Amino acid sequence: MALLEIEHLTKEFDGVTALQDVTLEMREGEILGVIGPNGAGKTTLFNCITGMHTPDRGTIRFRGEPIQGRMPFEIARRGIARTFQIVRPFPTLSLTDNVLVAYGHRYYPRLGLSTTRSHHPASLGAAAALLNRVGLASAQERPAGTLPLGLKKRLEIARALALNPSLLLLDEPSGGLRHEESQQLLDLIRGLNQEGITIVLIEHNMPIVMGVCQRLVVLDHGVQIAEGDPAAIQRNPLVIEAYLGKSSSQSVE
Amino acid sequence: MLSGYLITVLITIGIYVVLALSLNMITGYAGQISLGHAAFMGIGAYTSALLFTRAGFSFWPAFLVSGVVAGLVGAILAIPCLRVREDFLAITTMGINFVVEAIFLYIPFFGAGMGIGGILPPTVFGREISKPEFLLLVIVLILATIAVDRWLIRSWIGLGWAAIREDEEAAGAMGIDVVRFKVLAFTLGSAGAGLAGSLYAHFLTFIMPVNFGFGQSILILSMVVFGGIGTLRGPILGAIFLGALPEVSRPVMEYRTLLYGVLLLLLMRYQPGGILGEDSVLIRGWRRLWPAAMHS
Repeated sequence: MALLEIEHLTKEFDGVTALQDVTLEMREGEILGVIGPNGAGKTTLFNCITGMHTPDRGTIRFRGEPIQGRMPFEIARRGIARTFQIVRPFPTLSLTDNVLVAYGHRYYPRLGLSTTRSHHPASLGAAAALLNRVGLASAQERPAGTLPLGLKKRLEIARALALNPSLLLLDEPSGGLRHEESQQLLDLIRGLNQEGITIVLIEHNMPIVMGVCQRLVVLDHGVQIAEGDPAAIQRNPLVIEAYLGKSSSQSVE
Repeated sequence: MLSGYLITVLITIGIYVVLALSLNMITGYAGQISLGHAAFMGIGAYTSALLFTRAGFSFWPAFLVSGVVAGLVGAILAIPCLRVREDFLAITTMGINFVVEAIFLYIPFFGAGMGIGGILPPTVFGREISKPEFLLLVIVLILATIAVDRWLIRSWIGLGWAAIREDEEAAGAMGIDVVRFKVLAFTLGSAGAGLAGSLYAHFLTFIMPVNFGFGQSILILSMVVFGGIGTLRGPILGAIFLGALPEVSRPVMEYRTLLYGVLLLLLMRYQPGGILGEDSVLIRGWRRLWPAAMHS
């Protein structure tokens, strides 16, 4: 069942076409990988889905409802959460407060509710549980900016989870991580997927992609060039050519 | 007993404390630069003055209406402001200050260059309140402002403002309606400035457009920054210090501007977070001495 349907998505920036007529879907319960060389438009795709950019053409439907062009907060409140390629936690806020910012989506819509205290047993307990889930329990009160990169990345995931998402978009979650951290990340992704969250990854790290993704979509220069299971994608000459160049694909045959 | 002169100084400082705290809500908590805060002080002052001198309002209802009107205008002006980029927001708020001042200066309804006079102090049961009692009124307003500030900081709104201040885009991605929260900060901050303006009008008993110009806005912003932007204690200290400075520096009055400039330069160089800001020497020392007091 398609959770997110993207049709003919096109986005241009000052004459550069970042996304060209992209049509793809994200199926409920899957772990989908979006791969492609740098500049392929992968992050732009995430940005259009989450409302940071308004597409020039095309539609994005979440559970059948069009969401393209909506404000980011509206999309977040519908259950689509994301992490960022260059990690951006709220630096002077504690880890707990970082998570609570997203957890507060339950309260922000109503003015009366939003004036209630943010630190109360229920919310603090929920934040602690989320931090625990990603392995950050012990650092709860530190300013998020002081964390090392690997922990910042986990914090972003905890923060995204506080939105209670049905769709989680992870933008290069393994970027800058050491091997063992990447393995822990894989376990976390699998675990979240088993809890019922549909996960879409942008990744360059091929072992991660092959290790956890059930299906792949390949973008190159804003165009979708391939789609399928990881093994088939690995052998696809168009994909190889996109990454390595024309002559390489011929020599691989 | 306090001398009349001292009480006057304290009342002036007290009004600046309210102005600094209200600006701090917009600039310190929500992170939105505003170089036009005095405009809303002026809107409050003129609303109170006009209601009193021309519509027969007594002080108390005029005071409340001033806050509401200033808040409303703040909300209306905030909406177009907030769709511009940060650096343009500074210029836009500055522009608002000049436009509002010009409206007071050139439109006869507002008394033009002569301003509005004949504004009487508040009365209670038919008796005009004394200066010490006016000081009490100012202190009550300060305490009420502090109470509202503390309540909002601890609420989900305060958390939303903090997120917007730190990273507006990420805040939006986490479910915060950034525009609505910014407008809220502007509305509340402007309402506070309006209330301070009303007190100012009924204290001085006459007001002129020049009282609410860009220079006044910069002075209020300096107080917030000097004391420690984003904290509750900072703007209070900044208002006290910079509000008292003209009186304290009377012996060297010709060099006052130089003194201000040097102070601000030293501040920016050594304690850019403000004298009582999060990272300041004083606060870090305080925390080392009393680790139990590790809350703000």
